[in-house]
Amino acid sequence: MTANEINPVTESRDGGKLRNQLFISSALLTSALVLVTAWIINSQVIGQVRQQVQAEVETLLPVYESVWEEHARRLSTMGASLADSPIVKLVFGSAGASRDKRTLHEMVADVTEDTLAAGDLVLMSDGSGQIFFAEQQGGVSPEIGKLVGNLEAARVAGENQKQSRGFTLIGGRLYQLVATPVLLHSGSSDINNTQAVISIAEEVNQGMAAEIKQRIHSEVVFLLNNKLYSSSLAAENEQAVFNAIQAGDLAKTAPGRSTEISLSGETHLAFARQLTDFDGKPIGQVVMLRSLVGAGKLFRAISNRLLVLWTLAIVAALALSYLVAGRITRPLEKLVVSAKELGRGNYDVEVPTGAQGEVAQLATAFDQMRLSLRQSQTALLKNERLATIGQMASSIIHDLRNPLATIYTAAEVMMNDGLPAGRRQTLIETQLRASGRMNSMLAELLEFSRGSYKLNLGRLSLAEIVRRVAQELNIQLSQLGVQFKADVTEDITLDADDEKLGRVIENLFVNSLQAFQQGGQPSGTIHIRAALDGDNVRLELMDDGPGIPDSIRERLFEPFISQGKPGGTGLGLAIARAIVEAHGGKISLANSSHGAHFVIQLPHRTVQVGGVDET
Amino acid sequence: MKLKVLLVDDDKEFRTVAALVLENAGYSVTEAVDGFAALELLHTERPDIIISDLHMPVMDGRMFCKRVRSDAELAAIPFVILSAYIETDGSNTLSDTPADYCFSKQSSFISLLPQLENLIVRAVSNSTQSRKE
Repeated sequence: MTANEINPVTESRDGGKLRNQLFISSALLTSALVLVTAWIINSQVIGQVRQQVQAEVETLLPVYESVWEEHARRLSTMGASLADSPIVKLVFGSAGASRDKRTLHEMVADVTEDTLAAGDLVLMSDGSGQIFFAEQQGGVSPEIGKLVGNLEAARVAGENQKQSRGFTLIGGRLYQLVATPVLLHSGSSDINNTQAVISIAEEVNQGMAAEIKQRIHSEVVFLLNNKLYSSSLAAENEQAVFNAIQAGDLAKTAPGRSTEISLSGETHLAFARQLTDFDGKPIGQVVMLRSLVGAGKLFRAISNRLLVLWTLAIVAALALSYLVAGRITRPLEKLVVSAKELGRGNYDVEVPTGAQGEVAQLATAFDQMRLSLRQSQTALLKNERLATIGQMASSIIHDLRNPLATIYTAAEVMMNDGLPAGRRQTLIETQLRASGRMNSMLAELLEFSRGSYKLNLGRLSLAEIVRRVAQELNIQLSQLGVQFKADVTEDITLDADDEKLGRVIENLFVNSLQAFQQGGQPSGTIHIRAALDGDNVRLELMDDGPGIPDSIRERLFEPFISQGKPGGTGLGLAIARAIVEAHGGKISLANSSHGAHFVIQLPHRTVQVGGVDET
Repeated sequence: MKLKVLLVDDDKEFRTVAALVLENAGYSVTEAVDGFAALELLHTERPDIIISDLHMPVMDGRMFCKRVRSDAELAAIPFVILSAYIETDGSNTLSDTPADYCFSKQSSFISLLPQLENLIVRAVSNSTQSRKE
C-alpha cells in the first residue's frame, strides 16, 4: 500500500472528529447553563414557598390558641354554673346536708343537665385542694372515682377565690382543667368563704389533637416529659415523627420560630408551644407539623412545568449545537475529502465553495491552489515529456553517429585509388559490421518503441535457454576472463517465448559483461541459478563485478539509463523488463554486498499479458 | 622516423578505419580501448599526439585528458578529442576539458589530418622555445 492510499474508514472517522468535539463542547456548555439557571430558579421558588408557609404558620397560631380558649370557656362555664347553682351552695353551705357520692353525683347531673361531655372529669375538693369527690362522665375510667389527694389547682382557686385554669396531670393523664371555687357570703358584704372547689377537666387526648389538626391543617403531637403522649397521627407513624421531632431539637427553638424536619421524605415545618400549669410552669409540649408539600403544590406545578421546559431547552440546545457543529464542519469535511483527492494527484477534483465566511475563503483559496497546481503539473508533465523525448533523441542520434562515422570515413578512404587490396577488404568488412550494428540498434529501438511484445509461447526448458545464451556469449566471456556458472536443473520448464526470454537473459548477461569490462576487472564470475518458487520460476543472475552505482539503481530499468555502455542503445534492461512483464512476471534488482544481483520471477504457466506501454 | 599517434576509442570498427587513415598519412598508430588502458600505455610510449573519444567505459575522454594534462611528463602532448557528441569543431568546444582541439565525428576524419600536423608543429616549436629559455 502506498502512502497515498488512505483507508476510507479512517478518513470518515477523522472527518467527524471536529464536528463531535464542537458538538460535545457546545452541548455541555448549553446544558450546564440550563442546569445552573434551573438550580437558581428552583432555589428561589423553594425560598418563596418556605416564606409562604412561615407566614401561614404565623396566622395559624392564634387559631391554635383559640381552640384551647374555646375548650377552657366550656369548662369554665360548666364550673361556674355548678358553683353558682343554689343546690350546690346549699349542699356545701349547710353543715347538715349529705355529701355522699351518690348525692353529689345526682347534684352534678341535675345542675349540668347532662351537658358534660363523655370523658369530662368532675372533681370536688375542699378549700385546701383535698379531693373528696371525683367522677368521669360516661364512666370512661371508673378508677377515677377512687381518686384522692391534693389538687394544686383547686387549692389555688380556693385561696384566690376565683377560677383558675391550666394543664395538669391527674392519674398520669394530661388534662386541661378549670377550677371554680364555691363561695358563700359570710355576712359582711365583701367577705366570701370558700366552701369547696369544683374542677372540671378535659383530657388532652387524640380527639383533642384531631380537633386542633382540623382547625390548623397541621399534624399535632403532645409531648409529656419528653415522651410522646398523644397525637393526630396514625399509630404507625407516631414513632418516626417523634424521632424526627427529637432530631429537630425543638426545645431550643425560639418561640414562634419553626424548624424544618424531614418525615418520610417530605419536608415539614415544625413549631412548638408549651402547655403550662396554674403557676405558669411548663408541664408539657405541643408540636405542630406543617407539611411543605401541601403548601408546595404551586411549587410542584411550577417545577413540573420548569422540568418540561428545561428538558425542551436541553434538547433544543443539543439539536442547535449539532446543527451549528455540522454547519461549521460539513464544508470543512468536504474540503478534507477534496484535499485528499488532490493529494492523490486528481487535479480535477471538485472543490465545494458553497459555504460562507472563512470556510468559503478557505475553499476559494484551496480551489485557486488546485487550479495553479493543475496548471504547473500540466506544464511539468509537458516539460518532462519533452525532456524525455530530447534525451531519447540525443541518445539515439549519438549512438548511431558512431557507426555512421566509421562507414563514412571508410568510404572516404576507399575513394583513394591506390589503396592496397588487403586494406580495401578490411574497410569493406568494417563498413559491414558498422552498418550491421546500426541495423540491430534500429531494430531494437523499433521493437521497444512499439511498446508491445507479441509472445510466441511454448513449453520451454529453462536450462536449455541459459545454455544457448552462454554459448552465444562464450567468446566475450573468455576474452574478459569471466567464469560462468549455472545452477539450473533440467526439470524446470515454463510457458514462454523462446527467443524473447533468451533476449532477457542475454541482456542481463551483457549488462554484467559490460560492468566487468568497465571495471577493468581481470576476472570474475557470472552465476545464474533457477528454482521453483510456488507458482513461479525464480531466476537469479549474480556477478561479482563492480555492482550498480547508487545513482542509477532506482531508474535502472528505465530506457536510456546506462552506466556508460559502449555502443549500446541504453535499452537492454528496459527491454528485459518489458519482456518479463509481458510474460506476467517481475524483474528486480536485489540488494547485494558486492556485484549485481538480478531476480526474475516468471509464472510457471503464462497467459499472455499483452503489452507494455513504454513510449 | 614516423610521428606516433595514440588512438583511444571503445568503438573497434572506428578504430580500425581511423588507424588505416592515419597510417596512410604516414603516422604510426597505437590503439587503446579507453582512458585507463591509454594511461597504462603512456608509461612505456610517448606519442606525438593523442586522439581520444569522449564517451568510453572505465575512464572517459574528459578524465583521461585531465590526467594527461596534470602529468608534467605528458602535459605537452597535443590532445585531440574526437566524439559523436560534439557538434562543431574547434579548440574551445568543451569548456570543461583542457583539450587542444575538439573534433566532431560528423566531419570527415580525413579533414582532421592538416589540423593534426599543425598541432604537432606547434607543440614541437613550443618545446624548442621552452628549452631555449
